[in-house]
Formats: sequence, structure tokens, C-alpha cells
Amino acid sequence: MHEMAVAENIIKVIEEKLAEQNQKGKVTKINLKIGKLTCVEPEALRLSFEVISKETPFQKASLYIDSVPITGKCKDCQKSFSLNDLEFACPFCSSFRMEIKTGKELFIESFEIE
Amino acid sequence: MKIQVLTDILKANQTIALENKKIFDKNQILVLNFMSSPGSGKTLILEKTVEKLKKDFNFAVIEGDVATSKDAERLAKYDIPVVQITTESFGGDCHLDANMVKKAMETLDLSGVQILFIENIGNLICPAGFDLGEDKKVIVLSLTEGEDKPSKYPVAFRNSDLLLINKIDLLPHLDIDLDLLMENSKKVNPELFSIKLSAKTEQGFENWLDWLVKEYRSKAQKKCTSEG
Repeated sequence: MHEMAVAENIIKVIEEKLAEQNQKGKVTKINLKIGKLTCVEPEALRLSFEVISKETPFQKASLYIDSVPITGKCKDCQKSFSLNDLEFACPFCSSFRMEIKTGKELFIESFEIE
Repeated sequence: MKIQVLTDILKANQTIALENKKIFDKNQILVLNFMSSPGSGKTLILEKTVEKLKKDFNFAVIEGDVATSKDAERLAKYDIPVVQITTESFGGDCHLDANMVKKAMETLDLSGVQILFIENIGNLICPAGFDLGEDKKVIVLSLTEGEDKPSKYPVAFRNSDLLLINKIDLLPHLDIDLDLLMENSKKVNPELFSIKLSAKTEQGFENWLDWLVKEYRSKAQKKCTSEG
């Protein structure tokens, strides 16, 4: 499952940031923004993270996941809307042509160390 | 202590994918990333394509599987450069990523290559999220998979440029509503171009070959135009 690759990359990005800022310490909290369109399952991500962070400075880190809903703008009627399931039809004019505004995020906002 | 990051988690993959693309573009290579479920017939499509077009184009293939080199052996029979990536050595990943392709490129002789096929691991979820440096993503769907695949795997369908519907020769033997499949595909990605074919009987195959040749010429034309 790709949640494992995502967990590995979270650790890589944070390690780079720590090196860049010349900081060390145990990571206690990681704040993530994950869009629904990425199909990254939060619980699967937490489990993958738990597995790969064992016996590393990340092993006590809690993942706080802000799940971002899918919103779009219709290219035909120009109206903006939310999509609650993965059927990409404009609720106003039923067009399938749309620009996705949010929902694709796979982002580390911040983290905390002690 | 709180540290702001504000970084894409897959930033590293994107960076390497762009580096890969720079190399491919510099060498004027058209690169296609093939994604599908296991058993869709990707490898046979690539075999037949190479067989029919190798007199006109120089091909190379990067094969991705979790284990074995069976698919690479099939393509190597056509006397073209082939590299097999087995993700076992990377931890058994269910998708190729840009770094794996970068490593494969180190052992692949790209001189003179015009078209590179990257056959991704058989998986409709994970590959869609990892750019490899390709020009186009091609999704291969076997007719036997049913009408609702596009709805079930929207990310893969939305991220692709071409849909090849394979095993069209089986249509008389299946309870599948082809119009519904096309409708479901359009709902998820209205801009996804699709071609129905059979790699086995070669029905419709010429449409795929025409598309491929057109894409190659289009890329070559863009390169000429940008160089003035």
C-alpha cells in the first residue's frame, strides 16, 4: 500500500528540515494536510508510520491529520462546489468538466520536537 | 518546539521525476508510463507494439514488478534495451517511483532511443500518485474487469492521458455494458482519450499505433520549434 511510501517520505522531509535548521530531538507531533482525492487512508498511514518509526526519534510522534475535502469549480457554469463522493459531476449543471481546487494535498504543515 | 515545514510529502519524488524528464527531453525520448491492474495485458500490448514499429523507431523498456524478470525477458526477445526493476530490493513497493526509474536509467543505454515504455507494477491505486518523469500516463483496462473500474479508481483515471481497453475480442462472451464503461470513464475524466483494442487478435491495434506515432512526432515537433 502506498501509505508506507508516504510514511517514509514524511520521515525523510522532517529529517531534512531538522538538518537544515541544525536541530535535534524526539519528534512528538506531526501536522499533516491530506486531501480526500489522494486516497491516502489516515488509519493505514498511522499504522505504517508506527511500523517504520520504531526505534527512531519518530517513534513517539502522533500524526494529526487535517482531512481536506474535495472542492471544484465547474468549467462550464463557473460555479464552485464540494464533492462528497468521487463522482465528478457539477451539482448545478451536471457537467463533468471541472477544475479541482482542493483535495489533492499531501502536505506536512509543521512538526514539534522536545 | 514547533517547526514549520509547509512541504509536499512527495516533494522528493517530484524533484527526481523532473530531473528524469529533463534527461528524457534532452535526448528527445517519448516516455509512456503504463498502469493497470495485474493481468490486463500490458506486456502483450508492449510486445506487439515493439514488433510492429521497431523498423521505424528505436524502443527501450523499463519493466516494473515486485518479483521475477519474466516480463523483461519477454521484451528482451525483440533485441531492444530492457531493464527490470524488482521492487523487492526497495522493500517490495507496490508502485514504481522516480528514484527507481533514475537507478534503472543508470544501466540503460539510452543513446538513440526514441520511445521508452515504463511498464509499472500491476496496481491501480499507488502508481497514479508517483510521477516518474514520463510524458504521458497510459491506463490499460481489460474488458473482463467490468464497467465500474473508472468509478472505483478515480485517481488513476483522472491522472491518465490515454485509456486502452484491451481484450475487446472477448466482448461476445462477457456480460459487460461497454457504453456504461465509457460513460463511467467520461464521468471521472472527460478528457481521457480511449482506444478499444485486442492485443491478441490485433483488432483496433492500429489506432493505438497511430496515437503513439502522433505523440512521438508531436514531441519531436515541439523540440524543433523551441530550438527555433
